[in-house]
Amino acid sequence: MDKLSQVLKIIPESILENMRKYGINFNDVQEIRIRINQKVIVKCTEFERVLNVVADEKCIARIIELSSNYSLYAYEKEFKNGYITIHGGHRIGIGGHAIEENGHIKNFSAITYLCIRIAHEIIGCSDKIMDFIRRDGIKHTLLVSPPGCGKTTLLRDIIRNISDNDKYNVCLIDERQEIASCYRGIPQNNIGMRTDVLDCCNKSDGLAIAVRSMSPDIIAVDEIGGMEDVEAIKYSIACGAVIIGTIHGTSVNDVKNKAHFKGLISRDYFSKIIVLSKRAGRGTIEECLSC
Amino acid sequence: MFKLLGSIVIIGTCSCYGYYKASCVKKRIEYLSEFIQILEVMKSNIGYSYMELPEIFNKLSDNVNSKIFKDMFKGLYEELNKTDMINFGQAWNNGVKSLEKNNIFKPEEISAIKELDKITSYIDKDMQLTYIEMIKQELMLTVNNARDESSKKIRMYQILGVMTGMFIVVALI
Repeated sequence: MDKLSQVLKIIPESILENMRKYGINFNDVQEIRIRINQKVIVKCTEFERVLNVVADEKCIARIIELSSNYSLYAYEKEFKNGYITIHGGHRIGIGGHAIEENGHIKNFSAITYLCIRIAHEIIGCSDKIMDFIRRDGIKHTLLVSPPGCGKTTLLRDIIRNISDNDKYNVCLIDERQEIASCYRGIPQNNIGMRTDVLDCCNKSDGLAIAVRSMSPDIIAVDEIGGMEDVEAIKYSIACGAVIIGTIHGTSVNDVKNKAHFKGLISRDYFSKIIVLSKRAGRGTIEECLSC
Repeated sequence: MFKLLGSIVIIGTCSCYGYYKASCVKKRIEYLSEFIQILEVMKSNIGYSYMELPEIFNKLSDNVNSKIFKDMFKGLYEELNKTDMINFGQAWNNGVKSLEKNNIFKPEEISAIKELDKITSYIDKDMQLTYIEMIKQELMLTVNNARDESSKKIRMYQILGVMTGMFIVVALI
């Protein structure tokens, strides 16, 4: 069964029928927004369509039941993180009434909002920048972009390229399951034949495990965030691993201005920077810099 | 000659029916005990290995002894894996209908088993385990009561069967 059919399986027929009525091409769908007692909204590549179907409790419960394969308890950890990844690599973000324990979300007592993000991998989207990445050898590389500009999609393809074509062992720390999109531990996206995945693993622990036990040539991380991530990356670099990562930001200066990222963009750390934007569509490469 | 043959047939038929009813009592206790073990297996698979329900049902259909439960869980597994899947509650109730057809369980026992159709409405694993435990306790109470009464009932049905046959023979003669 292809990837798209995996997500179509969990969407109620009333919504699918409406989408067909509007002539929506399922391959163009990026997101389906389902909000309790509101009309369902479908976001495609070029436009957004409000469907003529209102999501009620039954509809949301049905989607959750199907996407968890009737076994919500098996996705407890994912629920705590606010999403579940289904077969095909698609992600369902959840919202509703959260139950907290010790300052952390323990679970949801009522799920009333869903954001179904359809996974679209673009094989070959990194081909145009691989020359830059490979120039003078693969070094620590940072992808900088605001949200929704395709840095995760690009990182995925870079990993695939390096793994398959450059024949390096890559270890991917997929904390939020967005790159490999593992379902029951099996990657749903093509991340290359020499790539190992640490799925649902936080970056600091994942980097330590990768360095100690997976013998990677390259470690890939998505969304470098706080001080803990930065320290873990510095440790891995000191252990000899090459890091390719992504970070939120609009430009190199924007990243340099963040307190705990000072010094990270330098010859000793990330010496190659790729800046992305949405200017000419997702994945627009604004600049490629070498330190 | 014919009278003798007829008497033997009547007594034999009534005795067989009596023994059949007695065996139903035994079977009911066996099935209930087995279902309680099934609930324990479900709890373990949910609680420790986080196995998904369709897989649990598939595993149960291979491992349970009784045909009625084998068929029930096999049917459930197949129904939950269909592309035009119905909701869990409907699938579970369809499965329980197959138990009802065997006329072994009492209505209150069938009701207790049917209550498992709500198991997927709990997000929290602990709640689900508690819910299964609650159904299990209800059925254990039933089994214990049934065991207490069983020896008397089994004897009663066996004797009643023979006596009824003899009574009919005497009445006809």
